[in-house]
Amino acid sequence: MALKKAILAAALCTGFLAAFPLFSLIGFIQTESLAAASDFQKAAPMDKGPHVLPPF
Amino acid sequence: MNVGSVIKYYRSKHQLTQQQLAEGICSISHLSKIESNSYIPHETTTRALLAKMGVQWKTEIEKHKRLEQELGEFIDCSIHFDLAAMRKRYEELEQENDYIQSTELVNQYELYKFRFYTFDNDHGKAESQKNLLERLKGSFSAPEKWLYHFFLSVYYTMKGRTEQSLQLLDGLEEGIQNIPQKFEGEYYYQKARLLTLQDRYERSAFYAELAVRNYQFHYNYIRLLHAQLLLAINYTRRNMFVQAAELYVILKRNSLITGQLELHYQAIYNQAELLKKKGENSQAVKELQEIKSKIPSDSYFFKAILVSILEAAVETGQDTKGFIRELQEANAGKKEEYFQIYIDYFEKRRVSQSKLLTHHEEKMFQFFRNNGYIREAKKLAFQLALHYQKKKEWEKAHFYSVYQDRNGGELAWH
Repeated sequence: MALKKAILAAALCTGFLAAFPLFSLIGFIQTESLAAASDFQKAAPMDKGPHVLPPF
Repeated sequence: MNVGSVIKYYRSKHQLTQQQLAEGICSISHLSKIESNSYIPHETTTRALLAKMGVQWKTEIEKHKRLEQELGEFIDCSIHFDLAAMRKRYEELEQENDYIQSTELVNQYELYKFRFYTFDNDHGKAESQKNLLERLKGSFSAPEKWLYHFFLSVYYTMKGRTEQSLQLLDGLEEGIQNIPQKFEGEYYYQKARLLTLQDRYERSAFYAELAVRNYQFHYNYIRLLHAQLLLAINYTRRNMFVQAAELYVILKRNSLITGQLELHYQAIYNQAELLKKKGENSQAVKELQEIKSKIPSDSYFFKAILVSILEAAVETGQDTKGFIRELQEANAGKKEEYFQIYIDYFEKRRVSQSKLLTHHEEKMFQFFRNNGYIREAKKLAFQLALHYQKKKEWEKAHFYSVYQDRNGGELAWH
């Protein structure tokens, strides 16, 4: 019984430890892509045309 | 009305010192306080001071009222895009410029003069007015500051610095409740126009629709037509053909009724783009040819019309030789590379089909991509992707189809 408990505890711990870096990595990726998206928005280029638009 | 400023204006005009003017009426320090508007004098003192310089107080009040009204009309013309009347008002007000400088009307007058110069496309005058306003802006009220930044954004549009212009507009959205109601439509319109230039059509339509509603509400007919043309272009580019077609009918009729000929031709040019998308190329050629004869042959618009005619004419199998020659002649004066690329393309198309693909890929696509012709590059990428899909050259097909989706426009960042 004690052995079972020890194995279970070890499995939970290692699972948790493995999951921790994985989740933090997902968060990192999400932040990165958000930053990239807002950068892209800022850098959205202007189309040179041809445009025949009404006056400004 | 600032009485002190008016007294100071006439004293300087008559080259009198404060001592000379104050003598027998009030003390010099009293006059000094009056002139700096930190003290409102009794009416008899005002009358006495002005009478000494041969100025009637009653006439002064009437003059101020008249100028206030004229300035109001100048502003109204600007909001309603009545440029001929605005010029007339401007010339009248300029005669009173010195006097206006002495009144509290000065900030508004200088602000709308800035707007007038940008309407007029007068880069030199607009720039010096911008510098003047930079110096004046410390004395601006909150709505005047808002207006200054708004006009500055339009100035940047005129200068082709559209990104800077849009950035300024974005910062102004919060303050929109503090500005005169009649300006709301103008704000939405400018924003929609800039977003069209950025290929961001969904957002652009959102603002263009707001502008239309606002202009309708204020019976602002010419600006309403401008906003409707933006919307029609928007619907065409988003393949909403029914909505676009309906708007073009309205635009063509109402631009004629209101005497907006240039706008009428612009509507026809853009309607031809719609016709081409719908495959009605012969009709497009016919309509474009009608307006071509009415446009100065060295203008950008004239050349754009010819390119559009050529695009439609090749689809109908019409002979393009004459149109190519016309485009060559038009581009001979002020040579623009964009049009030269098209001249080469249509010439090659007449002679040999086999070299067309190389020209498409190596010359046109590269030029459009490197010089910011986003729509043109995407249009070409679409054709090239189709070509390579047919030939089963998947790597190239993938490159061009991805290019279409990723470069600029709304899809790029959603």
